[in-house]
Amino acid sequence: MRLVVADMEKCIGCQSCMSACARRQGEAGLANTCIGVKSVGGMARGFIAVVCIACDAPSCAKVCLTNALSPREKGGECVSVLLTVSGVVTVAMPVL
Amino acid sequence: MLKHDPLANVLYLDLSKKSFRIEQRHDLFERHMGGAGAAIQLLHEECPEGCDALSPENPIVFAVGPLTGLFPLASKTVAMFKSPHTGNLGESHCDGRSAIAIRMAGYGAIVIKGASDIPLYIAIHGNQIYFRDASSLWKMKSGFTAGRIIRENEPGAGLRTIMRIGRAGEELVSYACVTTETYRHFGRLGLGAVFGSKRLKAVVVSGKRSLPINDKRLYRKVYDEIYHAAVNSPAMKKYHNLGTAGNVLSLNEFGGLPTRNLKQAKFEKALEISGEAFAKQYLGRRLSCSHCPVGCIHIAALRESYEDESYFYKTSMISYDYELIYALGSMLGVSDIEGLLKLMDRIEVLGLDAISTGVILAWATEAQERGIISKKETIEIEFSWGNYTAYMNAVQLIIEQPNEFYKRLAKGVVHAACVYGGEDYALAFGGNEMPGYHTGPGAHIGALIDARHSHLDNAGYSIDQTASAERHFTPEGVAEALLAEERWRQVLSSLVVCFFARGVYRPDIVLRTLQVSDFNFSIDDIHRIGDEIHREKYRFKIREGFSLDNLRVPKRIFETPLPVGKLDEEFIHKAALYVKAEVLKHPLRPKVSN
Ligand code: SF4
Ligand code: SF4
Ligand code: SF4
Repeated sequence: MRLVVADMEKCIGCQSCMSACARRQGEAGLANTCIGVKSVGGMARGFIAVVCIACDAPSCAKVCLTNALSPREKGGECVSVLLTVSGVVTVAMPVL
Repeated sequence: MLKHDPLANVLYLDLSKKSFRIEQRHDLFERHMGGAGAAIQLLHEECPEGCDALSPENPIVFAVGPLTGLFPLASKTVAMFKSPHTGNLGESHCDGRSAIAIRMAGYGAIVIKGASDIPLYIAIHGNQIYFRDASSLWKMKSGFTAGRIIRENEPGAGLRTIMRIGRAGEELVSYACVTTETYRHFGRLGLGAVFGSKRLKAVVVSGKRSLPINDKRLYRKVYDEIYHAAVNSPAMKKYHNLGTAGNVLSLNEFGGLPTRNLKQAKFEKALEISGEAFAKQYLGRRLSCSHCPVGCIHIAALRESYEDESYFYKTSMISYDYELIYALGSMLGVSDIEGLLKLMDRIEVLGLDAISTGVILAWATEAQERGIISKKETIEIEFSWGNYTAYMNAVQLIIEQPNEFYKRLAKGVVHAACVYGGEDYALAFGGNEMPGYHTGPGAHIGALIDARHSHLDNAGYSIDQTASAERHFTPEGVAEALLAEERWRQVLSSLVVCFFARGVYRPDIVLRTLQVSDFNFSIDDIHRIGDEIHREKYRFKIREGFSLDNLRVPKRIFETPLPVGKLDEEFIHKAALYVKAEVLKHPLRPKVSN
């Protein structure tokens, strides 16, 4: 199961996903997280997530209580590799 | 602590010279952990005895803790300063993205001294520090707009905090707040005015880094335990669903919701401004602090039409919680929920502490009712319970301060009552306007003796609500329970753990979280540290003139019946004696030299 950005309207901006991705890599802090959640021009207007193409069993989705993120069936390659090797980031769109 | 933990870095900024330096202070964090513990030491070091709170000498200290960025709900920043509102210890906590941003930028604490000649803001991006001209942001009508411009100007979106003041801070209103992330506040005791006195419009902090840990497996294990305990606890669910606003109805039923300047402790229209009513009619979004899954911050969406144009609307997103509903709702007799939201919004835009503002306006309403002030003082405003338009106009005048009356209101309810009278119903403890609890002896004595004179340090209301009558409702029983809670909260606020998670961060869990960063304490150690921090705060308070011998108690709290327990001067006197003996049991430590 890989990652789906399901409904960012549900996102509360808690950034738990960001630190979960770092922990998955055996790290603490945010230096190498593969997901970034930021506001759409101020907290009042909600959030967007800038994510990788998704690893297997995404930790970020596991901690997302609001189901703004959820695991999906198919996905690309393990993104932490993509990110650290070539720095590729994609802006995730809801997957239909 | 781990040798390379960036927590040890203290960033010292001088606004007069526009210079900075970074010092490694392992001593500070190893001994006092961080947060409140580190901040009170820095305050002792940096704040000259008896200094004017609005002078360049008064330092602003921000501190975070060892768990910040590592564990959930350790996301508070503690600010310490000398308060321009009370002339004594100023301490205020705020969350949003502030604590994580400071930690990710590579600091455990930031100390700001001096004053700038021109308005400026400070941008701290990791080890890059900039002093930026803020002349064009100064005197801007809305704090929101200033925030928006800084947001556009600075990098670090998603990883930064923007702490800023509004008009209230610029005009040195002694209870002006500092706002972060649009909706969160260093609310109480006037940090905003200290910013204003330094011509400091804002502080932006951002960063991204890894944090050292000594045992990956232990880290993940303890993390998972805390995370699951937090998200499964009923308390957290309550905070997520209705937020603290959920307490309006229960406190009202209990008979502890201060209403119309505490002439009553039940509001007959509480249902109309309850957390349930807000959620059903207006809840538009929930937000969370960084690295906290709870999401207790509730934002209302208020759609308003433009008066002069048909079919034109704007939607304002307004944060609400229990304290605002109390101070601007029941305390002022406001039951019109839309009016209440507008009043909350106005106060947010100007950057005032909502609790102090509400209590001051409540005093003004009663004072006008009793004829000790007239329309001459108020400049034609007629305060009356529930009239939110009058209150909105009045807060604007508190900023503009066109006459002596509004100048006094801008200094707090005690200052106003000293001049105009009505001291018996000027509801402040230690110079700080009362929080929203008339629940019993615990709440009031708690506010009288705690370091911040608020409900935050010892939760007296909860002692009232849960106490078994025979044990607690003696002066000594109440005092002892309050002291025990306040000492333990020093530990939590040194780890900068959100008090809502106090049920999760029990002493044994705290020890294990600390082990991950190589702080090897025993349970006795952390209790001792909590006690020490409490004493250090008292040492500062006594140094600056606070005394438990002459507490100012507004008579109103004796007149309006309490739901539990009995309270009179004698009871308070005995409780204060007990606290004094406890605090002075060991001699207070002499000043720590640099
Ligand atoms: S899906 Fe991407 S962001 Fe989520 S845990 Fe995996 S690598 Fe990290
Ligand atoms: S996507 Fe989920 S975990 Fe990430 S910030 Fe939003 S609510 Fe939190
Ligand atoms: S419980 Fe609420 S106040 Fe506390 S850290 Fe979480 S979102 Fe912030």
